[in-house]
Parts: sequence; structure tokens; C-alpha cells
Amino acid sequence: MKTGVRGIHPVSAFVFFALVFAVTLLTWNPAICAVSFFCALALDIRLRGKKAAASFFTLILPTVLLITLFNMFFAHYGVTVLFALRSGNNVTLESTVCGLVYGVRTACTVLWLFSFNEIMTEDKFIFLFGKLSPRLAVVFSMALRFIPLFSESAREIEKARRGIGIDSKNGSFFDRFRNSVHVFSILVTRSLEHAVDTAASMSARGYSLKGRTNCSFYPLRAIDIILSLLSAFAAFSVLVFSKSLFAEYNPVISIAPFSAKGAFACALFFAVCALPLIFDVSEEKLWSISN
Amino acid sequence: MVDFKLNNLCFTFPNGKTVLKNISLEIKRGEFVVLCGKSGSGKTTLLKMLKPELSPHGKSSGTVEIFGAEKALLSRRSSAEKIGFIMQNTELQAVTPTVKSELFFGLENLGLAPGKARLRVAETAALFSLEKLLEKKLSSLSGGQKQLVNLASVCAMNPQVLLLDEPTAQLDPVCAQRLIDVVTTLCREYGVTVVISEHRLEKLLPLADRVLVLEDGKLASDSTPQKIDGEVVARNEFIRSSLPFPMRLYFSLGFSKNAPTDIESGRKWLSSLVRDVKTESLPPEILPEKRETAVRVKNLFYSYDGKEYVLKGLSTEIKQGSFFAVLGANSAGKTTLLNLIGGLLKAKKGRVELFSKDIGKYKTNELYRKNVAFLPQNCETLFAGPTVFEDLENVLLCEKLSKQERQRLIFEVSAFCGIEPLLKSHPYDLSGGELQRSALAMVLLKKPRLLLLDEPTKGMDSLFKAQLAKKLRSLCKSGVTVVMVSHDTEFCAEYCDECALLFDGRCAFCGGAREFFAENCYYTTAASKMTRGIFKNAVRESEVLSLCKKNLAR
Repeated sequence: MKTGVRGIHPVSAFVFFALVFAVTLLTWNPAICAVSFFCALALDIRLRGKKAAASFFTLILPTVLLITLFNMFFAHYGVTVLFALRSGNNVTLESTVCGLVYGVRTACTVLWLFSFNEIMTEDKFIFLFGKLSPRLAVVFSMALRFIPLFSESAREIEKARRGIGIDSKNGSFFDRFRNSVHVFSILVTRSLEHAVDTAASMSARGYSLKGRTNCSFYPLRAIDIILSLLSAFAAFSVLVFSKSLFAEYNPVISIAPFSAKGAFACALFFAVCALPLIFDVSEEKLWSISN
Repeated sequence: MVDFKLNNLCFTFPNGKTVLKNISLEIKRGEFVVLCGKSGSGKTTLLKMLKPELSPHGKSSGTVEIFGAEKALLSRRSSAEKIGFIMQNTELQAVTPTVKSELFFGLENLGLAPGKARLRVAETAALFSLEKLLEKKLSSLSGGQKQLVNLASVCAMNPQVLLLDEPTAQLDPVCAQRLIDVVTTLCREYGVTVVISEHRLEKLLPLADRVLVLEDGKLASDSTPQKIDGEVVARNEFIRSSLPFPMRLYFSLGFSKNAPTDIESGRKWLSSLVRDVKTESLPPEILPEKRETAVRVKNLFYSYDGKEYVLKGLSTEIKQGSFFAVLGANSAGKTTLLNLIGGLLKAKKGRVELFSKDIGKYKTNELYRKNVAFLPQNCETLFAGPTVFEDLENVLLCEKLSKQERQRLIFEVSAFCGIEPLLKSHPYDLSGGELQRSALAMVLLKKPRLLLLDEPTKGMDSLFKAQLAKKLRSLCKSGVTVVMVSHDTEFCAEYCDECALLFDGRCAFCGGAREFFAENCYYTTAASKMTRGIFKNAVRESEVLSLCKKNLAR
């Protein structure tokens, strides 16, 4: 059994991520964007540690910068001219700000996906699919098993052939091409051959019998229910108060002024986004206190 | 109670090949039956005939009764539930990604309620001590662990019968022993009927209730291990060579009935046979004169993760033309060393010299042409098909040779490896032994001076091992240096000139193989174990045999 945020029920985790993605991608409000960005970043760092920091500098920051610069120099809407380019086009405040929002939103998506990957592990996917159809769950889990098997097989073949100098990195261009084709051909033949054996093993263990059940088990805890309900409530309020969260960047920047409704929706969204992290940290703290 | 009753069973594949001929036998509930025979003698087909879902297509006559009823009448549910089948390949039986889901797979198929299934998985995990592995991915387990999970996931379904088709062929001796122990427990304590096909009988025979011997699809012998007599053995060289050492010695000395099956009873018999020992040991072996060095390894360090070092300052030397074995426990760094010598890995520190030249100074093309060749553990990774001949030809395509020249080389190598009749077959249709001979041919086409082999005897029967040893020895005679990584102490003691034992990242021993095994107390051959306290320095079967003859002659 996994603990902390990794132990969240598959259905709750799925609801949470689906709604957070939806809100992040459907609103243009800078406050919502910022909340989403910082919460996603914090959760990512909590879950992946050093790796998260590394990907922040190598992937996330460059993405934001690149998209902002691209929009700055290639989109020419807006009225507030910052400076003119040599080509005669103007760089405007509006296109710059809009580019920044674009960039941050893209970064949010990637960051949430990192956490999604950590929390929605294969077995949770299988559980979700298994609720729909037990057979679909098997197909899905076979596919998940096939990928590592396939890449391991590829590595093994390449290494075996390197030992007699007929791998895909050896010889003239033509040799290398021919050897690559052979490696691929072995890979496919081998996988097909193996699939026959796996199918035999499945039927030997009664796969085709009627009445297959799904026995994956996830206890539903208070946090799972709170997380699902809160996400639903937050997404709903963002939708209802969308007028108070209104934002537009073309031709002029016009953002809805501060209002109680907007602040409420925004705060609720922040609570949802931060909840997994808070839960994870507090569970660890409680654990260390009680010991 | 009878689980299986076969009456005059014959089976012919659609291509006309008859694999089972007139087999009649009965297997009772709770029996431990060992099925042996050469590869291609029909062991797998016979086992599959006992499991309806896996029975091959073809023409069959005679009857098969399972649990007292005609085979066709057995429901698919009870076949799946009551008859468990374990295949040779550890990798392919698993269907799902994690250990836990794999244990649940069969139970979900049977439609067990979640609560009940969980209890079954808990029980099974405890029996197989898999609790710590439950959340692990199958791809992260070792071969031995995988096979144990395969067995556990079948046993979770609570089968009445276990059919095992060479389950330990791909495992090292330690893992193989663990698997056999579990199977024995299942049979003895839980009353599960076990039918296991194997060609390594050393460990299994003393445990078995019955031994079935298949010879070209016919049942050549069906008896208890104690009752295997000299007559069957004299007729069948394969059986003789795969018997445990005490039995082999017993029959070689001309005795026929009531052979000792394990080392303990073998020693008792031998000490009562040779009462007064006149000749205790044979003169030491004369080692060939010193030759040039083929491989020199100096102060080698290697680590896969940068933290834990597999090799810690290993140094060794291998002479040209010697048949050299690298021995050691699991994860002692044997394969790592072989990969470093073969240039497939680069050392973190230290140097590897091949034929007095640093390995880094060889160009890749130069290294793998006429210098080094590596035969991997899974030979099938080398073959693309559609025929063995084309695969052999592919090896030569990088070299500028005329078509006639290529064919000449291929036929020369094929004749040496004895694979001429196989040249037109698809590589995947070959048996394990045939595939390995073809792979050896492929490797030899590169005309290496140094041949590296990773566990070449894994899953091979004793006759094939003898053939392989003969080929490798004749290569050594022609000046090729053969370096082999192996777990097979018997094979190394019998055929290798020199060996090295890896321990704690270094060589604990490096020198003559006979001397090594003769001096060891625990890590040694069955012959040496059995003759302990009777003879001295007797490592090989031939040595024990000649010592016995000398002492018995008056």
C-alpha cells in the first residue's frame, strides 16, 4: 500500500487531474494561471525532488521563455508599442503579456503531467479500466508490460550483435542501414513469437472463462472524498463566476477587476491545487510525531 | 486415485512428424514424476497433451483420461483451475506488469470475489515468501524470481496437478534449487501431483517417485529411480550421461540393480566397496608449457550505478589457446568481466589488453573482425531468419568477399558445427541446442582469436554439453582462446584447462582447473564430494573410475 499523495484513490486522482487540467486550460486569468503554476511546481518538487528541479531548469523555464519570445516577435496585435523591429513590425505589451500567459499555461500542463505520471501509476489505470471492463483492463496491462519488454529486447539484440560486429553502429553507412533493418526484423519476429507463448499462458490460466472479476483494491479514505468534492466545487465556481475572472489581451489588456466572487473562486482553486501537497506533507509530519 | 491415464497415445503433427508413439501410463494423485529424454524426444508434447488448453493441433489416437474422465469432457474451468502449467521461458508466462497483479490474474479469470482472491494471494505470497516483491515490476526481477512468481501465480489458483516443462533450464543452480525445493514441498506437504520434465537429473532424481524415460516418442522406461537398471542405461547413452554421478559410477563399474541415487548413499556404497585403499590419488596433471598471453586484465574497476563497485581492482591473465572458465556466485561480476574483455563495456579504471594491445586502441571494425567474438546467453537474439543460411551470410556481408568465397566459408563452419542439415530451416524452428550450434557457427565466421561465451551450457542436456566441449577444445587446439562464464562446476571441472573464481570484485583464485576443484572443500564437483575421505584429488568421473578400478584389481 502506498502512502501520502501516491496512495490517493484512482477515481479521486483522476477527477482531480481532469478538473485541474480543464480549469488551467480554459481560463485566461493570470491569477488562476499563477496559482496553477506554483502549486504544480511545488507538488512536482515534492514528488520527484532533484529530478523536478532539473526539469524545471532544462524544460519548464526554456518553454516559458521560448513561447513568450515567439509571441512577442511574431504576433503583432495590441496597441501599446514597446519598440519597433527592423522589419517594421511593432513589439507590443499585449502580445508580450499574452505570450507569457501562453507559456505559463503550457508549463502548467507539463508540470501537472509530471505529477500525474507519479500518482496515476499503471495499477491505478488498470483499476480504472477494470471498472469499465475487466477484459479491457487485461489488454491495457499487457500493453504496459509489453513496452519495457520490447525496449529491453531491443537493447539485448543490439548488444548481442555488437559482440560480433554486426550492430547498427558499425561499418559503412550501407552496412549500418542493413544492420538496423536486421535488428528491427529480429525484434518484430521475436515479439510475435513471444506473443504466442504469452497467449498460451493466458488461456492456460483461464483467461477466456466467463465471469472475469477485477480484484484490484483501493480503500476509499476521507481525503479521497474531500479531494474529489472540493475539485468539483472549485471547477464549478470557476465556471459560474467566469465573468468575474474574465481576461482578454487583444487588442488591449482587459482583466476583470478585483471582486469577491472572483477572489472566492480563485481561493477555492488554490485550496484544491494545494491540497495534495498539504496532505502529503501533513501525513508525513503526523507519522513522525506519532512515532 | 488416478489423475492421468494414457492408453496407447500416439500423436502426429500436421507436418507428418510423429512425436508420441503408443504411450500408456498412469499418474496417481500426489506422485512426483520426472520426465526425461533428449531434446526432441517428445517431452513437451507429452506434457501439453495433459493440459487441454495447450494440446497442440495434429492427429492423435488412443485415449487420455484426466481425473477419471475422457479429456474432451473436462470443463475449461476445471482445467484452468486444477492443472497448472509452467513453461521453460521465464519471461513470457507473465501477463501483467507487477507481481501483485500477476498473482491476481488467474483468480480474476476464475471469477473469484475480491475478498476471497485477496486471501488466496496473501496465502500464496507467504508460502513463496514474495511479500517484499508484491509491488515490484516484473521487469525489475531476476530470472529466478520471475520463475518463482510464475509458479506462485499458478499455485494461487490451488491446482491439483503441476506440469512443469524444464522450469529450471534458464536459471542458475541456486535459483533452480530454490524452485525445486518449493515444488517438492508442494508435492510432499500439500499432495499436489507433479510432472516435471528435466534433463538435469542430479538433484531431481533422488526426490522423484517415478522416472519416465522418453526415447524418440516411445516410453523407454517407467520405474522408480532406484529401479533404473544397467540394462536401460546401457541402451541409452543419453540417460547414462544425465544420471547423477553416483549412479553413473555404479553402472560404469558394471553393477546393474539398486544403484545409489544421491551422494550420501553413493559414498556409503563406495566405502564399503573399496575397503582398503591402496592407491589414494592419481599423479598430478601435467600442464602445457607456458604460451603467450591473450588477455591481460590489470586493476579493473567497474560500477553500473557509480556507487556500488562490481569489480574492485581485478587482475588476471589468460594464455593463448587455453579454455578458461570464469566462476563465481550470482552477481559476482562474471558477465561484467566478460563484457569488459569483449569491449561491450568500458572500465571506469584499470586496463584490458588483448594480444598485448590496449583494447581502446582497436578500431571497432578491427576488434570484432578476426580478434574477438562474443556468444551471448540468449542466442536467438542473433537470428533474423528466414533461414539459418541467410543469417550466416549476413555476418559476412560487411566484408568484401565474392559469393563463392562466402558460401565456401559458410559450409566450412557449418560442417565444423554440425549444422549442415539445418541451414534451410527457420531459426525459430530449431531446438535450444541446434540454435546454439548455429549461433556458434555465426560467431566463428568472424574467425576470432578470442571467443567469449556467456553461460553456454545453460539449459543444455548432457550429451550436447559433451559435443560443445569437444568443439571448443578443438578450437583451443587450433590456437583460439576460449573464455567462458559459467555456473556449471561439473562442466568446468571436466573440460576446462584453467579457471578463475571471482569473489568480492577480485579473483580469489586463478590457475589450473583440476588443481582448483581438487583443493576446494565445498565449491567442487559431485565426484570430489562423494569420494571425500576415500580418495584424494579425484575431481572428474574418469579419475574416480580409474581409481576404483586400480583399487579393486588384485
